[in-house]
Amino acid sequence: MKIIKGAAWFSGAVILALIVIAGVVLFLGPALNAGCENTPISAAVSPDRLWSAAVVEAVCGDGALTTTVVDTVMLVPVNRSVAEGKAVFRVDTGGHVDERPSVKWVEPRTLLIEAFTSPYAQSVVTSYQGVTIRQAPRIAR
Amino acid sequence: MIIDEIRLSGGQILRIARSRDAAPPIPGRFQIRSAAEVRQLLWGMRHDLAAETTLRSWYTFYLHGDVLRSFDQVIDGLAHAVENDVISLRRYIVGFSGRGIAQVAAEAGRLAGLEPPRDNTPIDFKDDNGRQVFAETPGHTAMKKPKKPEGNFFVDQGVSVKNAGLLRYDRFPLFVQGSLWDMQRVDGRVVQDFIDFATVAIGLYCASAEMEMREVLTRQNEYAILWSDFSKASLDKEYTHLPVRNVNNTVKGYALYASGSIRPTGGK
Repeated sequence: MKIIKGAAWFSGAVILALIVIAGVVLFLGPALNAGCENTPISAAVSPDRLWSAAVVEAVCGDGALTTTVVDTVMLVPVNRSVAEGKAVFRVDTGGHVDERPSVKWVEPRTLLIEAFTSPYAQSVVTSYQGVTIRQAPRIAR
Repeated sequence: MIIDEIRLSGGQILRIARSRDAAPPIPGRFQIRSAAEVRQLLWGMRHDLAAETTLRSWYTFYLHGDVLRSFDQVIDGLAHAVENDVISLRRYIVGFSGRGIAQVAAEAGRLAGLEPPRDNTPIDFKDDNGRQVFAETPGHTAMKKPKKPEGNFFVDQGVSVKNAGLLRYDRFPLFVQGSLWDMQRVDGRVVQDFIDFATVAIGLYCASAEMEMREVLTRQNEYAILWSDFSKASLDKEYTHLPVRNVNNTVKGYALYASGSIRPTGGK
């Protein structure tokens, strides 16, 4: 009897979860349909091999007139996927390759991000789980 | 695919392109006899996303209606506006089964001879005086474009639409991603070098068609409120749902036309 009750509860929970997911999918429908394409650009592993810094580029279209290209620096524990990492820096490159940020570890727990200082660049956090994130301004040619 | 072409007494033509199976069953060619028939025709499109997109564009751009209205209200507004002006309806049926607005608009554009010459070799984007056009970027990057079409193509299109007294927004779906005038895609893939030019081209067209820039950007912003999520991009301060790069490039298209840097080919 307990097993049957447990199975019923589980089925109910699964159905509820499906309803919630369906609701989220419907709510986000237009955004999901438009979609983004994520491409890894570069990565650097910390000297103590505990962290990785990855630059991921998202090319997103809204299905109408506009496409955006945004590069995000993700700080990721080495045994995790990039999706599980923390976004620490973001720059709207608009598709300009020379505006992509570059990453370099200068100490075991200090990450240096080189990028243009511009309205398109945005520091999300300056430290995360003991890692310090510093920005070095890139000089325009 | 079918194309319904509604001719108005002022010489304007409203075209609606959509998938064949979504069309209401009406004769291939007939005279509209009453306002009720116009309303019935438009009502038949209420479950067709491609047609709804076009009709909403007309409603907001041509009639300056509120973009947030329900589709029922849009149909009522359009029917009221055109019911006394409609002089004929023609229906074209073409062998095409695409459903997306971009595909439908592209096919309609090809039928109308609006496909530009295309050579996707990347080249520097220079104005009619041979001066390099630069992007509004920290690196002051030289803007690129496909070898063909020239920027003048969009100016010519804008001028011709204005001179013919056509609905200027009628051709806007041709800029939609994947359609004939979408300059940033090659074989369905985004070419990052062409993103700036794609938006500048929209600015060139709108400027030469004498479409008011603030209105164009406001309408785009309203669309973005409903359908777009650019939250990770840098957004404009005034058009708060549009990426600032998008606004800058639209403005640049207007500026290039206003300064005479990119002119109609007949004016060279």
